[in-house]
Parts: sequence; structure tokens; C-alpha cells
Amino acid sequence: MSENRPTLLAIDDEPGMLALVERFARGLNFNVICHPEGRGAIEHVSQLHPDVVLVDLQMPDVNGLDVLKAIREVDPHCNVVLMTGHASVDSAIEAVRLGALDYLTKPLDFDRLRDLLTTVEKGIERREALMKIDADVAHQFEFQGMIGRSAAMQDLFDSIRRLAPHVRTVLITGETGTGKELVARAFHKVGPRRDRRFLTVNCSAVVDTLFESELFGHQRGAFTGATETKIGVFEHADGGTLFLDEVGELPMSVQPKLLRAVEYGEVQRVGSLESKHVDVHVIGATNRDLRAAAAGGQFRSDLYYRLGIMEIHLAPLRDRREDIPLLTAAFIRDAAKRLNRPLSGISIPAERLLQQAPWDGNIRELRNVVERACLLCEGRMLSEREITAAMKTSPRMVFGPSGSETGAERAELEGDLLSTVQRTQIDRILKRVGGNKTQAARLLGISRRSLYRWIDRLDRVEAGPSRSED
Amino acid sequence: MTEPGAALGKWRHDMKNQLGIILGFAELLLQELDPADARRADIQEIHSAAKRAMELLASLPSSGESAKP
Repeated sequence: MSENRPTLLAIDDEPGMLALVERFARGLNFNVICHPEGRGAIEHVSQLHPDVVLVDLQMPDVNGLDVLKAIREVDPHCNVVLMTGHASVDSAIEAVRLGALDYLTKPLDFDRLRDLLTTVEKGIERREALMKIDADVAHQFEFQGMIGRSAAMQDLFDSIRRLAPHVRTVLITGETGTGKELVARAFHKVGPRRDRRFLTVNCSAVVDTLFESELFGHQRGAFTGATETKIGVFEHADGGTLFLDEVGELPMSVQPKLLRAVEYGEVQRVGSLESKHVDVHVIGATNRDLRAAAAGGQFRSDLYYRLGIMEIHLAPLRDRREDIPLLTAAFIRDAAKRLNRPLSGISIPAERLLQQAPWDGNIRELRNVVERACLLCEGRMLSEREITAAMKTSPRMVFGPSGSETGAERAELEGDLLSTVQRTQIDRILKRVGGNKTQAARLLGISRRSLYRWIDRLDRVEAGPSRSED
Repeated sequence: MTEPGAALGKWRHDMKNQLGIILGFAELLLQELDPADARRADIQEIHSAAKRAMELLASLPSSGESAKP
């Protein structure tokens, strides 16, 4: 398949020379792109993503050394080989200083060119093999959809295996994006209720006045608008597991009733005098310090101590950086499959960038950055360039630590950030996902509403200033 | 470099390029053809002639030097 072959970009003003290089490199299973002039090639290099560039030193429009400089600015790790009919010590030294892989004299020495192209190909194969090893290791260290070989993650997996058959309530704490829901699902799947229901309620998404009805249900006529009797999630989850995400956001008024439901399995629909008995395992999750909230009176301490009988704390990604290569490999493999792209690896500098980033948004942020980079990548290897671009559009990289901004501030910042992103990029992402705005927004790391706002704003800009009627 | 010198330099460069292309293709064909192939001898002739031409080009006096009879 041509997509899996390494790509050679040949730049020479002499068509016969291009034909010769093309014929030779195709024989070595390279995909060859020829360009008859330097300037045009520089403009296209960012789209072509060649693995190696062979460029003539003397061309009428631009010097080969300038092409080398320009290419290294766009892609610092692209292999560039210069060729010349007039070798000089000065130009050879300059080429090496600028980072050329080699300097060939004309007429071409095919044995030397073969060695060079083989070196490039082997380098790519090595990176791909490493990536495959990482992805395979990730698979070995996977537990219920979570990946981690770090001591923290291995301890977590052990705890889940040991505790899941016995516990009835669990409190999972950890920063946003650390995988609290995955842990909750793991407890359910490993535990005795794996074949029963697992229901999720996001406590931060429920309107305060409807909380009680949502959790415990209501009788017909219990309040204005209660036209039908409705059962709550506790009754619905009877015999199974209920996951209360963002449990720290639960209104104080509902907390005593939740405590009763957890403690005695008693629930009472709104408007009913009768209590019902349910058997539900409750798993709560929060990124807040519930102990401090309980001490400060913002959360009921009896509920905190009941939920927190078994507290599982998830380490932030920055404290288990050894898992980043495995996670990255797994995310690239998933994205390549889902987006149907021929991606098979990541360059060493790109991997280093991922390794060193702060990751305030933890694994969710890492996954989004890798996915965005995969979408931007035209070649087979994720480079520093795509990772940097993907990080620039990652809200957390720009906004700083989680939770420091309000919703409105965040929306505003998202708007500012997006205004720096070119329309072409948005269009490209939309095109790739077949116009699916939900998926496009997710890949951009913004909300769907923000994406709509952005498109709307761009449409207005493109339509020009509004004209007043004469 | 004087103007005629520059023109000569460019001519040399272009000529070397053309000869390099002839040599390169001939070399590729020689590598690919079966040793018993009858066409090898013809291609070998092309290759040798291009190589000789390249040597002749290299022996041309460079710009600034006057050509000796």
C-alpha cells in the first residue's frame, strides 16, 4: 500500500534528474514526489510530510541550502540530503551545520544513496516497532479499559480486584480527567453485580429543584408539572450499581435522604408517604476535597464518612509519567483505527513533549491532544509539529490548572483561543469527521456550543461588515 | 567571475547534469539486466561514452584559464 511506504521528496530543476531519482527510489519501495523548483517545494513540504528530502544545491529560483533551512524550520526532524555537481568544502560544512543528513555529489553514487535511503527506512521501522511494543505492553497492562504499569496504577488495579467483590459503597477522588468513571465501572464489572444495571447520574448537571425527584422519583401530582408517577434512579438501579459523578455538587437539602438510601436502602418518592426498600451499590466520585468540605460545613460529614468508608484516590498523570508512552501508543492506535489513518508511530521529540507537559486535564487531556494531533497529521509519524499545534488548542494547556475559572470565563477564554485558530483548520477537522459537529468539538477540546459560536462568528466575518440600508 | 566565465560555469553545470542523467539511467539498466542479456553490451557502450564525456568535461580549462591548443 503506497500509504505505508516511506516518502521521498526530490527537488531539482532538471527533469531528467528527477526522473532518475524517482526510478531509483521507487525500486527501493519509496513513495516519490518530485518538485521542479525549490520555492514551491518549501510551500508544500508541510503538507507532503516527506520522510526524506533530496534537494539540488544549485537551482535558479532558490539555493538548496535555503531549502534545507526552510524545511528544518517546518519539520526539524525531516531528513534532508543535498546533491550537487560542484561540491565545495564550504557548502558541505554549511550543509552539515544546518543539519543535512548527507551531501552527495553528482553523478549520483547509487550505492551511497541506497545506504542512505535504507538508513531512513530502518529508522522509521524502528520507531514503528517501538510504538507497536508500547501498544502491546499497554494491552498487557490494561485493566477494565484503564492502562498503567506505574506502581500507583498497579496498586489501584489490585485494590479493585480485592475489594470489588465485597464493598457496597466507594468514594473515588481525583482530579478531573483521571478516569474516575472508568474506576467506578471497573468496580461494577469485577464485582458480583456485573450482569446488573450500572446507572450514572452527573450531579453537577441536575437542576437543584429536581434532584430529589431524579434520585428517588415522584408521585403523580406531587408538584406542578408532575403529571405522571416517575421512579427515580435508585429504584431503577435496584439490584445494581449507581454511580454518582460529581457527588460533591449534591445540594445540602438532598444529602440526608441520600444518606438514608445508602445506609438503610430506604427511598421515598416525592409526594409519597411510603418508603421503598432498594438494594443499590453506590459509588460516588468527586474532584473536590470532600473531607475539607465536610469539615467546613459545605458537605454533610455523616454522608461523607458513609460514602468514604472505602476511599480510592486516583493519582494525577503528572505523578505517573511512566504511563504516558503506553497511553500515547494506545490512543494513537485507537485514533488511527477510528479515523482510518495510516498512523504507526510518534517521533522521539514529539514523545518527549508529551512526556514533559503538565497535563492538568490528566488522561482526558492527553487523549484529546493525541487525537487532535492524529487528525492534523498527514504522514505516518506524529511529529513535534502536530503535537505542538494540538497542545496549543488544548484549553487546559492555555487556561492553567483545573477549576481556576468560572464557566463564563472559560467560555470567553475558549472564544479567544479559537479566534487564533485558522478557519482552515476548523474546516479540515469538520471535513474529516463528515461534518459531525459533536465529534469536531470534542477533537478541538471545546464544547459544541463554542464550536457553533465560532462558526457563526466566522460566517459573520466572512460576510464582511454589515451594510446599512440607504 | 567575468560574464563569459559565468556563462561557461553554467554550461559546465548543465552539461554535467545531462551526462549524469545518461550515466545514471545506464547504470540502473546495467544493474537490472540479466548478465546474459544481449543489450548489455550496447548499454555498456552508452555508459562508457558518457563517462568519457564526463572526463573530457572535467579536463576543460576552468574560467579564467586560457584554453591551450
